[in-house]
Amino acid sequence: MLERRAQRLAIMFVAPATIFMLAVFLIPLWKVISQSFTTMDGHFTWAGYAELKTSILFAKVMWNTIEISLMATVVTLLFSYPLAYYLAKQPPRRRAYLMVFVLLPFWTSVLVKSFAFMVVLGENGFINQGLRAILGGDLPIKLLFNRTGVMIGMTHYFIPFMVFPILTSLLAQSPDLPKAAQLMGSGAMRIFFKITLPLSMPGVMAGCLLTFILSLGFFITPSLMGGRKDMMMANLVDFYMRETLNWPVAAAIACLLLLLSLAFISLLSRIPGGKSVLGEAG
Amino acid sequence: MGGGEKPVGASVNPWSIFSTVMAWLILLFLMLPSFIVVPMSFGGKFEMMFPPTTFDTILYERFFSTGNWIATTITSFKVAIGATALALLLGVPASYGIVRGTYPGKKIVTLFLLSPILVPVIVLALGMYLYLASFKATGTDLGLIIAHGVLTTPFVIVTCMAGLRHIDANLETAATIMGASVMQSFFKVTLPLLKPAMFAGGLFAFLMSFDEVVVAFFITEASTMTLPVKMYSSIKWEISPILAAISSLLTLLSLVICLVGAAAQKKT
Amino acid sequence: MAMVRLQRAGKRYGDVVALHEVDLSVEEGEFVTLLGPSGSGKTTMLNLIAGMIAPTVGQVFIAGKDATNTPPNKRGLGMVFQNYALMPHMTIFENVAFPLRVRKTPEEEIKKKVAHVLNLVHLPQVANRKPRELSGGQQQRVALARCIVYNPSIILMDEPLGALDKKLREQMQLELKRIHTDLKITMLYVTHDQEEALTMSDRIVLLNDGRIEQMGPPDEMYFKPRSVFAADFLGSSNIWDGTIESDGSATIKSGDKMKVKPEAFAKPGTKLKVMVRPENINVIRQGDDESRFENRVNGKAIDTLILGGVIKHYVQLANDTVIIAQELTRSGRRSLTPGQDVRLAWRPDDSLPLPAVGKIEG
Repeated sequence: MLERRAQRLAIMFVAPATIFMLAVFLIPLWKVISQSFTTMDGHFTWAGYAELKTSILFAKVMWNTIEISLMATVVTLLFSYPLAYYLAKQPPRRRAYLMVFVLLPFWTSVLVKSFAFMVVLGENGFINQGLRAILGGDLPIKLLFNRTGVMIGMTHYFIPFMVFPILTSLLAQSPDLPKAAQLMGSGAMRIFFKITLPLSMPGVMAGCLLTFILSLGFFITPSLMGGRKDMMMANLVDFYMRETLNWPVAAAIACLLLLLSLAFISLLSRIPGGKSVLGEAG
Repeated sequence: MGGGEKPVGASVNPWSIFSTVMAWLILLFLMLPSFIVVPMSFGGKFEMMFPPTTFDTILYERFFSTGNWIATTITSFKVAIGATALALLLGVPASYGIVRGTYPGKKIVTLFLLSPILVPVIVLALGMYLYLASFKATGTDLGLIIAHGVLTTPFVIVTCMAGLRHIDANLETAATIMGASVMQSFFKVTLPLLKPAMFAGGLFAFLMSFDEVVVAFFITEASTMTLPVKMYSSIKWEISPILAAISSLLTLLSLVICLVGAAAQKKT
Repeated sequence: MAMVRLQRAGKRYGDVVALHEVDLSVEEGEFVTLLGPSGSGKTTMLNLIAGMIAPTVGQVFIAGKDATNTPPNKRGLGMVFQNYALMPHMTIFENVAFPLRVRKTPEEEIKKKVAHVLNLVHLPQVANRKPRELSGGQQQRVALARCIVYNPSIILMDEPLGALDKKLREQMQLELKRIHTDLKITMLYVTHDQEEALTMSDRIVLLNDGRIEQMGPPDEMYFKPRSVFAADFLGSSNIWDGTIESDGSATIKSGDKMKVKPEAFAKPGTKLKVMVRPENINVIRQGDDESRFENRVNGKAIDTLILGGVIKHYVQLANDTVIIAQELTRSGRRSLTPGQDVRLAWRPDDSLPLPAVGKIEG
């Protein structure tokens, strides 16, 4: 059959990548799962999960992770929407130039960003010096190694991720809609809240879920810009792995993180805006 | 939306003033790191201040003359080139099979191939460590190339899928009816037209691998450390002024790749 | 010899029948058009022949050989697409040379052949240009040259003129017809445009709902439609419900009685449809001799539309029956005033009885 032949050819094209991913992506994931049930000397154990159940540290970190991720998502949205809205209103050429200012941070190493913020936000940094010059006084405001530092770093990281889907959904709106509403006598506020905002919700939802999913597994920013109290799950995995050398616990945390992420990824794949984020699978 | 023309007699929209001011503040915030590291990198040796008070290229000289930094940079280049080649080799055909083919289970296969984008990197890092440790292959360049291949292949797939959607499938059909085999049509028709997308995807894959910290942090050893891993420990433990020079060079690399890549993507 | 033959070939996807079992053959040098509305099965039929899909039942023969399971690249066909499908990254020369390169033709011969076919389509000067530098009509001629150059057993054309504007389309129709006649190429043309089908074809295959409704030369299709669908799809028609009387004439809904062309199936008492082409209905004006027309009705004018070369009159009969009469536009010929009494007349041979459902077999 001709269709069979075409199917076989298509499978041939996808096969190398699929085999590669099975071998060096799925098996490693399986290693994490099996490690979470295996003691260091190779026996089956529930101990990893049992320890998490009673660990105060883990409970705190888990709560931290969710709290920080939620906060980061909300703050990122608050900053990203006005930017996306502004970009959407620009003529295409101008928008293309302005996009460089969004794309460059997107492609800048998280280490470069962290380093820059650490210099700027430090006790003798540019921001604190400025504040001192304006407000006087000598007590520096603590902007680093605490929740504020983590938020600044994460928001900076996620704004591009949020701007892209929102911008897409704003650009997909017909420019005639606000014009029609205006002709019918709607004010600017009404147009925004009744037309523009509701129609951009798929982009907002996709951007929020994406930000939330990515922040759940965040490692570098909390490690460099946060304090001891801002540890997230990824940092805890590192802690158990390298410092206490307790592999089953490290793996158990990783498994829970994976499970949590998968739950939200499946949610993302179900919403209309999520398809574009997931590359329109199928 | 789009089109900036104002309707005749429209009163000034408070939303647009608000969003314009907000937008520029946010753009400024986004560009802040780049605006800071570059001037700082030309400051004096012991200065960790912004704005700098002197002009000097000593930090760059120090970077290029420190064997440790150079070695890690070379490792990063090697790994990134390897990972890019791997991602293109696997990702380009895969995107073709996904966009043009139909077969049972296509949705699931596609989702699986793209999932490394969304799985927490720390989980992959731990998994790669455990996996490579079982072959005693941690701390090898090849191990890191493979791990970065996992991270970058989905990216190449997504970029090339977008590129393929802009290529008229009738061109391939026409080639086939004119007598070309599927392979001939792929190499003579599809690939030449997909070049800009492949180029963009390859550049981005390179940058992703070159900048990647978490997986590299888990599976490299002192002898095979990459530049980002060394930067990470340097920022964490003994923040050094050379970092400003390195950050500026990385920002330059990002800027070039982002501009060239965006231009290439437009061409498709 | 038949260049393409479908033998009881059909295609279904699960429970959905895209094409019922059909028989079709296209003879060497013939210009056959597949005509039908979208979803009628013409694309399925084309894909079966091109080898993009295999039939669920039946066989496909190409140039006398069973090609049912032959992949498209081994069928030796040519195809012209609506969007031309010229390779944007190749020059016109390379585009036309592509099928020859695939066939490993020697370079000398490629040069000769490409130059020859570009001459045939009157575009010898564009060889070094890229497709995007050419107009739509020029691109389509290159697409045709690209097929002619390797001498395929048949050229399939999938709505090739659909993207062109009306003027250019008419010009290209003549051009295609000329090339077909000059080179005696076998062509299978797909379109949903009945005028195009009538202008160009040696034979029209009218498809409806996955079946062949009727096939034949254009004049036969136009003057002797065998079903209401065929009458309606090709040209415009007045179609009324009617009943056959014992004297062989028909009474239509408005109560008017008219003589119809005798047809074997139309026995007295049969409920059927009566079809009259608008151009066969004459508006009787003062002084006209109406004795040539045995069928005459009276009605009131509703409206008159001037469509350039022709005029259409809409006339109301009793019981909401509307009749359309079409005349050639002549200066001085006055439009009808709405509400005005009108007398219309036509010959019995022009009123065709058609079965109310199905078609006249034969």
